[in-house]
Amino acid sequence: MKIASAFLKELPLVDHAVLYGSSYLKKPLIGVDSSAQVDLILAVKDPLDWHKQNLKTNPKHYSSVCQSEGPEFIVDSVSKAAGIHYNPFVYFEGKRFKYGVISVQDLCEDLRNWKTLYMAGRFQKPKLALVEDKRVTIAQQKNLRMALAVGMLTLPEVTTEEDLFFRISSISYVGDNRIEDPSKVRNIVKGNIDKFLDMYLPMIKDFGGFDIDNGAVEVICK
Amino acid sequence: MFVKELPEWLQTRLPNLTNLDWEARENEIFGVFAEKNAAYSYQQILHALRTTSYNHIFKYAVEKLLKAFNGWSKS
Repeated sequence: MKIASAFLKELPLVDHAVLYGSSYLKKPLIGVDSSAQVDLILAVKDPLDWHKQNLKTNPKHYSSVCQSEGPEFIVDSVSKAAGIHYNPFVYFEGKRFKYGVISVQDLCEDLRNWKTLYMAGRFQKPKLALVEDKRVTIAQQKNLRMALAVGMLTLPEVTTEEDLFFRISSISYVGDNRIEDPSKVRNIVKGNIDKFLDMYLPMIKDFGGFDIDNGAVEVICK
Repeated sequence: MFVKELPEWLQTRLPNLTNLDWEARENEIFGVFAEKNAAYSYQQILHALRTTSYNHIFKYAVEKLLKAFNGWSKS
């Protein structure tokens, strides 16, 4: 997505960047909503330094509270939560953006161990990598493997790929009170089976223990 | 074989997974995720409230309400 890559050039350098959400995922029968907000996750080596630079170059991306309190306040506050600070309602070339900034270390830790599941869950659904860091890519492989294992353990021996990806996508939504539409998860899966397969198929083949063929999934050994 | 792929803390917390059927495993595993997701989404909301201006909070709340209304009316 060109506009997302162009937007990244407005920001200090990042180590890893992904595009996710409605501007990337298709809705069943509709396709990608071109008017949707662009959602990005940015992983950086040193969030304190990154916010320091970004507050200088793009102060309007931040709320008045963050502008007055400074980068230490942002980093200190987010360390008590899941580690990611979002700048919402940012406009670039007529499009609305929301971007979250997290340290590479915190992101990798969540992908590898599901410490908070907050980031790992977002990375279990299709997304587009705009900038790649090898450490994140390796940790992401572990995240997908664990997600597949959950799917296989919590479904009957014979199931469908849609149910498998629905189960995987539910990992990050169950218990989250902010979810506004009960059909949201099912719609994400229905509209994006091809993207889920691109993401998980190499891992499924490597994993063993089950087969996936023509939309059907069969467990061979648990 | 799939249990061994889970994060170690989850294997420790749910040591009997191999003895359960898939529905019981679903209840156990997703119960743990629900707890975790609720806790960290609450922490992230607190962080957002600490760092966001009032007009952004208002805009966000209105958008969420509209989405919720559309979602529930379709379901």
